[in-house]
Amino acid sequence: MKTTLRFTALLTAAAALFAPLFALAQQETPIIQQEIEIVVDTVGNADVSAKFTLPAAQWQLWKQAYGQNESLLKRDFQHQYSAVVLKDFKLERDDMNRTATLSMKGEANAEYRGNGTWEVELEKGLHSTKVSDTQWHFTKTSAESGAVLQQNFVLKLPKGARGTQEAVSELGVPVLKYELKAAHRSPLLPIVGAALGLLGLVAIVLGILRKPQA
Amino acid sequence: MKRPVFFILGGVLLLASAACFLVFFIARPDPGRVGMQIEVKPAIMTAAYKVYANRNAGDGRYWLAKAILKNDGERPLKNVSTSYQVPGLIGWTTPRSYPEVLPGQTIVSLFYPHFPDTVASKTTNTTEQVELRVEYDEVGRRHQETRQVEFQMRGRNDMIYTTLPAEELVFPHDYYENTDLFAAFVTPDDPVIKYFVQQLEQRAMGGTTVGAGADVDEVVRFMSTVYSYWVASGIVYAGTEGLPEKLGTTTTTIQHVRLPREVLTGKAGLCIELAALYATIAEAAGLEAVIVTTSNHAWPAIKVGDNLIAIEATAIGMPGMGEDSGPAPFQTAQRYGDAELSAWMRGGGAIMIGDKKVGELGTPIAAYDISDLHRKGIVPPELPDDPALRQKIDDTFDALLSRSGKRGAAAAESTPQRATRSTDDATPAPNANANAYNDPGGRFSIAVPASWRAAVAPNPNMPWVALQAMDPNTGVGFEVYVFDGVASVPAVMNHIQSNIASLGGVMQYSAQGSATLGGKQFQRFTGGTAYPAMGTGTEWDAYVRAAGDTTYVLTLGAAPGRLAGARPVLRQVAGTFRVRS
Repeated sequence: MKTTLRFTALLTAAAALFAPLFALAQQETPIIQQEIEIVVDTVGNADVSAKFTLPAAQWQLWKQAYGQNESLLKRDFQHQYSAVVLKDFKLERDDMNRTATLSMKGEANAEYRGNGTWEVELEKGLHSTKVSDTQWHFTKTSAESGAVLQQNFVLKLPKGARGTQEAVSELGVPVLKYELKAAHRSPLLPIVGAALGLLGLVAIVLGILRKPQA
Repeated sequence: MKRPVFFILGGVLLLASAACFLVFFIARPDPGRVGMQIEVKPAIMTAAYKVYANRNAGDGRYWLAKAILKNDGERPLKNVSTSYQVPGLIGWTTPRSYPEVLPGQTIVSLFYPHFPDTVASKTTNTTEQVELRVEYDEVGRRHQETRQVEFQMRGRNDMIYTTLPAEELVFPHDYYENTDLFAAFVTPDDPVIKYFVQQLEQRAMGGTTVGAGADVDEVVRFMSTVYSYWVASGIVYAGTEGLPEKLGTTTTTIQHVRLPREVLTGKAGLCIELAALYATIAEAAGLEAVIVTTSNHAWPAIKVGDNLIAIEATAIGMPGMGEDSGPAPFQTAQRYGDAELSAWMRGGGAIMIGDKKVGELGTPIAAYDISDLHRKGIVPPELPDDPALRQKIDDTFDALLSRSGKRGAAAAESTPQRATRSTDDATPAPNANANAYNDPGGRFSIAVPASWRAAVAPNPNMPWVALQAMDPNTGVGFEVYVFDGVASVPAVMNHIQSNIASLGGVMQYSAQGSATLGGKQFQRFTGGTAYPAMGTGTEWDAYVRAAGDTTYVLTLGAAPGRLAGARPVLRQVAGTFRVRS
């Protein structure tokens, strides 16, 4: 069993948001854009937010599907992404602008491979752009039952992430690899202690060498 | 500076140094500590045992056990590994290893059990146990923790409709949360089903097959053949409803669903079972099936391109339910299925055929694209071959075909010498006491005995039937079929056979060489048609000619047992048959 990072899976999971729309016949092919941001912390957990705006008819259908049962959305996500611990779901709807933002926290999104190496599992078919070692952009366009879903992902890795690169895991799954040294305990205290001890010894030696005053 | 000041300063610095080291070593971080949470499905379906083994099926949702481990300590845990077993069924799995789990880090270990294929024969429910073993290194020591959780392993015929806790069941879809697994009850690779489809194609479809790329007509013909077999073989709609049971914290509806092989050979099924059987047969023949469901019903449909051809499978009748309504014709079953599908697309409500309301549909739940679900890993169990079930299938086919086969044999006995020779003697002089009939289109002409009753193009649903004539006293008669735009004898014979099948009949025939009628060459056949549900049938001879872009058929028939005696009259009629091309 593989439990590598599923951050993009989480994001593309947001496509599930629109499943009820795709199930219905469309008069025209709607284009739905989704902006997704994932911020990964130093222990592989991630804060995810997905924002989308829908045309009027699709907004109405989407509300019919999930508006009365938002926990269904949570359940669907939890079912689909079993290898991630999803929590802190929050859905904000802006009916005036037919926009919604879904946010959640995903634990175990990245898997630690030891020696400072982390892996994030990527969805197939993503187009990637490396902005820096700590920021990558991905895009994906998919046809879903008559609709076109355009997803733009921004992935932010923790400060200190280095050597980020796309790779293929042992199981042939595309992953994003990065190096991030695990935080170790600060050695400051024994260094200060040693310095103080040395100074103390110097002071005592100086005291011994100094002739007593008559 | 005075000497004592150096001693005091040195002493203070040494004390401060000692304090630093003391604090560093006393205030050591907590050791790594595993916070463990384990979830186990309260019950699993044996029919879907191969699904649970596949981490990719259903996006990975069909795990049996899930362990969430979090390092709640302040030091890393080293060499963490997780392993599972189901005592008696699955030994300890190869440990899943994690070199290091950092403080605050969470890992999720999922267990997708690989049950042995022998569980496919499991028909009873048992309580099993899944065991999780977690090992890790901390402070130079190897730690091990084990947890056990029970789960129910349902018999292979149990369909679990939802796995949600009772308090989560609010909306209709909540009650059907697990129903993708229904695709596991569609078993096209079952050797028994494969054998049945092979026999159906050979013995009821004249060796023709359908499959990917089949057009609407071919698919409808196949569907009607399957339906007719069901009717003729006596498959009935009968069974019980699903009964709610409580599983741990989950209240679920579990329904006993017989596998397609059991329905086919047991000859009884619920709507969901008949839908699964129909879908199974279609998939085994190379078609793609969909099962459409509502809150209280299910029926199958076949995909042809972007279209769905639905059929109400329970139209075969429901004697087992105390409503001895008998089988409906295939066309009725198909029309009803399509009407239900239309109502389903509208979100439920009245089932309308034309302007007439014929029923009320329950709440639409889902349309299960069986081929797609199979591709996604929701696959059926590995069923072993069963010679006894094959024999049952053979027996049923033999019984069905012997009804018309015996009649055919009797006819053959009475005319053995005509089996292969050119039958010029089938063209005697026209009977003087006859009325000549000339097709208005000039395609054919034939003499109808004066005392017979004739009907021109009697059935608008069968436009190829150009003329029908019968002696009202004896039941002896003939029919002329003209297939414009078709110049193929086998295609026409298949079409006729399928059409009879769609009406609940079984047609069997054999080629008997060629014959000359009116100076033109015809292929000659003898055969029989039986309608088991109605207890009627016909023995017949047929002359078929394909020429230009038209195929002509003359059938001469009589009630079972009377064909041999009627042949002299029928030969006279045949002798008057003339075709244009």
